[in-house]
Amino acid sequence: MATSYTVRQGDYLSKIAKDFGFSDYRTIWDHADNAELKSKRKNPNVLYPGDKLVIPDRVLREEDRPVDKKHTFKVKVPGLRLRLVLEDMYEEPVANAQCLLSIDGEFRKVTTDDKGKIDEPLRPGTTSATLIIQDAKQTHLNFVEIPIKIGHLDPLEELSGQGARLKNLGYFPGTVDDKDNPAFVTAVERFQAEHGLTVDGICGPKTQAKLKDIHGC
Amino acid sequence: MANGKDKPGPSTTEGGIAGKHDDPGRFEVLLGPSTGGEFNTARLPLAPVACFRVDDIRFAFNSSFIAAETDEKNDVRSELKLLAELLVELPGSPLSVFGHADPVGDDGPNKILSGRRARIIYALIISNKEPDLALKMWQEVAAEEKWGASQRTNMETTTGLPHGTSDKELMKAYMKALSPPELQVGKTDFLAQGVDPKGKGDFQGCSEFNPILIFSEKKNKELEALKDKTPRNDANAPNRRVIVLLFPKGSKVEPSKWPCPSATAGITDCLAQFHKDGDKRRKTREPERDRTFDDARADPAKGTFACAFYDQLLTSSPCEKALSIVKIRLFDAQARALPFAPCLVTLNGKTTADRATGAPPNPQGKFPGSPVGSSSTPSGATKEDGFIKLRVLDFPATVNVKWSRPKDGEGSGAPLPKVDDPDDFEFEMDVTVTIPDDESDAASKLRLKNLGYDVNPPKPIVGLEDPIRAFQTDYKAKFADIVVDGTLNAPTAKAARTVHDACDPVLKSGSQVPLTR
Repeated sequence: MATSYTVRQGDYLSKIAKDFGFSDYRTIWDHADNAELKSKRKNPNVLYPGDKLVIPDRVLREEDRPVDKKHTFKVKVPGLRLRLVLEDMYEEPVANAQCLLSIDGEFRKVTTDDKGKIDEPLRPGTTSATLIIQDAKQTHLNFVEIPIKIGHLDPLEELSGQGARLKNLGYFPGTVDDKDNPAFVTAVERFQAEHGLTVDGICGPKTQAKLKDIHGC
Repeated sequence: MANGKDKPGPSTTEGGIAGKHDDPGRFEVLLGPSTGGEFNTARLPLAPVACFRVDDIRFAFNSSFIAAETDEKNDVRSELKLLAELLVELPGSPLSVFGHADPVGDDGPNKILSGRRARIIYALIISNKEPDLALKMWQEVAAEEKWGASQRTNMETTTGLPHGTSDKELMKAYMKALSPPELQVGKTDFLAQGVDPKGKGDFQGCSEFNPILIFSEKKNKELEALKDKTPRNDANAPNRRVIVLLFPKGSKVEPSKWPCPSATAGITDCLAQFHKDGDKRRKTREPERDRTFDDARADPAKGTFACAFYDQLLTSSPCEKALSIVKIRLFDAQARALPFAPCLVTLNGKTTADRATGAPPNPQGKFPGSPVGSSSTPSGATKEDGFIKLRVLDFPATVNVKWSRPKDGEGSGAPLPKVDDPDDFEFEMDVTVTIPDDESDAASKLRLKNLGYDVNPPKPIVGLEDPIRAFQTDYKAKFADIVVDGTLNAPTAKAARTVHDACDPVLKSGSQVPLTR
């Protein structure tokens, strides 16, 4: 019997899939019962607390193979990645900088590219990581600890998601639960002004689209 | 309530405070993992690592002149030493200076005033490495404010230079006297590295836009009703401060990209940085309660700063907290205050040597030791004999005080007791500082204990087997409704509270040395 699952803060589909024993999140995402949510959220890894997912039963898949031979089955799963672009407060990329990325206690040396981007594989289920920049041109950023909360980015159409992206981009320092919060409105206005949009302090579809464009998701 | 964290707290002096910022959430990124082409962008902010504050008390009233005291412990030299220590801990941290004015007066003039104080402090900080620039800046402010005879006298007294010395030589020597030699900071050690001739990025005045204390309606009404504005100005002192921020090593800003206008410019660029509700934030009064910087800690939307740029720089600053003062008054067994008593105070694990404040000796040079109540001195000083004053961020539960009676003739100038010899004191007591604001049994017992009538002493005290009865006996003359019956009844509790909070014990029969807060 298919089960229903309510999304909690920090959940993302690859993680939910893994928790339910699915190696491929698409089995859930592409299921007919989730079509509405899929068309609403679009990004399976940016879900909102309260979203309801239908988790289908795991179906036994049978493959016919001769018993006297060895066979290899590879599970083709679209990889989960941690992609982060780092910039300084002047929007200059933190380019070609060596960093230390710690995920689940495991340390990895990574280097940002020309645009300041890090692109690393992620195991579904990981919820947090820490990044320490080591030799950026912007020396004041070296040795700063950057905590990364994986899966805690809310969808763009939700207020908290807009706030989170504006915070990531440095326009807004805190959390927002009221669209009339003056600090949030100022942040939206600043963002709009800097990106050639009508400055009205309201994060409507045009502003959201630009926000997605600049932030990356 | 005592600081239980491992990290050492900020350091305070009589006129300032220095401390590190602590805000790991500053750089936190909320990330959506990707299965397609998505990515996330994080723009890392410029976040200060530490701060340093010089209080209004260091400046002469309504002026940017820094007044020196005879004891360097009592003037800006102690704050500058804090800064030097901070720079040892965080070498290479670029600085930026922010001056603030109180809400009295208009925005425009207050910007200039706050800007002047920032310029003075900036100049003092660089005076060892860049004496000529520092002198030039002080001369400019002196001319603007028309410094005259009183400033000159102060400078002559401090430097010992004779009357008639040129202003230039005098100021130069004065700055040298005020700046600790270990403070070696140059123009390039500031955030904008001194590239802008007007100092944009290195020092600025915030006018009255960022108060840390906004009086309640009630208090404001009371203060404004008085003809003499001194109480109002005194109460507003916490707002008149200079804040120096230290940034991560390697930080640098381009003056053209720095939002704050220069110290001598007008307020237009400041207004552009205001929160949407900036004026509300810095002006709204609550009916009964004073608003403070701490309100922002609970809810950022309720902050008192109008400037959003300054606000986000100072979110985790220990320097913007208004400090509380704990006052402990020492008395001997005859209920006489103990001025100049040498003492060792241990608070939150830090022990400092100190000396209780006292009235200056009378003209015969004899030690006062006068009974409580007769402390009017020739200079008209208030009843301040025997007080220890501690500036704290949070009230501790108790403070351990060790003290001795001052030797004959020992005054405020006597050398402080040695910290490393704690056994060299006659008396010791754990003074309870945090007492519930009521007359419950628990609260009353704590007050009685502070007063020397410990209901539960660790060892029985000879002559004080019944402390409550003893208290009642001693005070029944002063409080008509006390009945000597050995029980902690309401009149007794009330009397204990009155005596304790007023620091005003009477001569008593017991042998214990009483202490009050």
